[in-house]
Amino acid sequence: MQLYKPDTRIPTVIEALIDEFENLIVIKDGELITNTTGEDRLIITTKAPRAFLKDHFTSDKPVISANQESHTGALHLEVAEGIRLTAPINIVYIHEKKDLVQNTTLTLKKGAFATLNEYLYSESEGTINYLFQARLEQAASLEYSGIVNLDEDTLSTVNRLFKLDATSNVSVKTAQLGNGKTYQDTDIDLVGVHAYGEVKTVALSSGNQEVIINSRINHKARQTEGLIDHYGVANDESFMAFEGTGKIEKGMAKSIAHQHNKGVILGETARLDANPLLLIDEFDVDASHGAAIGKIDEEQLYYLMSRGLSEKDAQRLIINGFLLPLESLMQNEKMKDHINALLEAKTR
Amino acid sequence: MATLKIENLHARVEGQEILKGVNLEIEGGKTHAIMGPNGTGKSTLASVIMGHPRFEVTAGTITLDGEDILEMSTDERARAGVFLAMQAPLEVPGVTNSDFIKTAINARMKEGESVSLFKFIREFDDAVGKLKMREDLPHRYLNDGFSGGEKKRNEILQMRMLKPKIAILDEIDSGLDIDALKIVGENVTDMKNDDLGLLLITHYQRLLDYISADIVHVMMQGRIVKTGGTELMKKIDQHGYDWIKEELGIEDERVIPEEKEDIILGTCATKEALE
Repeated sequence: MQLYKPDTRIPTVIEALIDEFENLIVIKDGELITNTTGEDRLIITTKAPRAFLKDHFTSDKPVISANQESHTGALHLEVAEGIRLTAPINIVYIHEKKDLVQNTTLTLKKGAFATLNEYLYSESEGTINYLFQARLEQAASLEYSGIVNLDEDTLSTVNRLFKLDATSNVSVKTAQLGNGKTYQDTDIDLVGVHAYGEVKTVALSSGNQEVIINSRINHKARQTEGLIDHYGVANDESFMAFEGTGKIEKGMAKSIAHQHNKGVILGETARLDANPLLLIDEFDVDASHGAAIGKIDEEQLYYLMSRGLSEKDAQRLIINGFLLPLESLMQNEKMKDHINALLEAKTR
Repeated sequence: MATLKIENLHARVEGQEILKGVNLEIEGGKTHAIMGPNGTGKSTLASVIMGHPRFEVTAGTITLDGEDILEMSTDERARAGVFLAMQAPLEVPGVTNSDFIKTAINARMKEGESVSLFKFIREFDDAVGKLKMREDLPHRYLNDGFSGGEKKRNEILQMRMLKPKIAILDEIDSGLDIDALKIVGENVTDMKNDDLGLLLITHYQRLLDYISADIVHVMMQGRIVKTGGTELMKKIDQHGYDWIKEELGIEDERVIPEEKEDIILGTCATKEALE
């Protein structure tokens, strides 16, 4: 009889990318196959803490509650009170089997600080239900980035939920760079005074792909601040939608909610919708939202071409300039080349 | 030595004819100036030479050393050696000046070759110094947040880097204060050589104090109506354009009507619309 051994092969694309990462966790089809974190101030378990979920993250969304009920992979990280982890933690999820239900949770205790970079990768077909839940206690601070790069034969829901106590803050940077049909939800609950949350998302769609980006910041305490930035490029015949919501509940005075949506429609028959929403039940707030979606500016193209740049080169420079927010996800030269290659392929 | 030859050029925009038979020949080593009041088609001529997509050529030819450039796309014209310093240079956020110019220079090189980084940086820094621009210019985004004067100087900087055969400066003096005009003038004069053909487009004779012109043309009604030397320039400076109109029997020199005033929506709009 053979002992069960998890399949630890890593796709070459990822292998080339991660060899410089310190503090690396690799999870393949829900199994933890690499952990080089070696940080004793960081607690890692491969079990989702049930009570934690029940107390803090109840959702009426079936895809979330189903994930919370039963998942094929779980990972829990915890940073203890007052601990500041300066080195980033890198987590790579590799999907290979048919279905993946991944549940990742993070607790930052009072005053803790951490940087977490996640990468969700697949080169085979299947459905993926990915759920990330982070709870930030008072004065905790999190720098989060999440890249999604999934195969065109995948259907994925990527839900990221953040719950913030007083004076804590989170910066969420996400990038949708894959080819699969993707629904991405980011929800930030600001439950304590002076909590701050920002979502910056870059999404690319190509072929006949469908990408729905949903970002929501709920102001459930006074003097909270939320910022949503969406950047998108829709190529070929793809469809993309930005649904951004800033919700300020009654009594949550002096709160600030801002939202920007910027999109470039590259494909002849591509579509990009932006539906910015502000739901405000309080007078004393500072709020704004805006959307600018359109084709590449003809005058800008002409200007660059009048200096001898081919239309293709001119278009590339303009698109790359538009997608500058991606730079914050390029931690090193390898990551930079990798992201630029994906960008090139998606906006060609 | 390059020659840009324009013959009987007619062009229109949105169905309206603006250029009505322009004839002009610019040869390397010579500086031409086109003067004339507003709305007579001067800038349209510049845009048509560069191949702006909004303009449609209905008759005539433009050749560069015998080659028909009307058959070329805008970028091909640029690579063939034509340069246009624009009246209102565009802002392109996210694209750095250095990336932009590097790409433009590489586009002029053979397939697979690219400019030496060392040489490029040295030339760029040199140009920045000569135009007295901010040292961080290479890393700033193309014209993004630039003042009017900075934008104009950046056009001249690009000209320095790209070394065209034929350069058209479309109202390079507008929006420039006297110090900036002096810098631009010195740089353009410095670039003059036996191969470079220059075409200056301006309202005012002031620019020609800083960049001397060999031949002066006056444009009215979408064509060149008068050509001369410095004596013509001086006469315009002293007497304006009315004497030319009188001499040629021109009543309205414009081809582009003055902007119609929009009716502002509000209480009076209905009244104005009814009238």
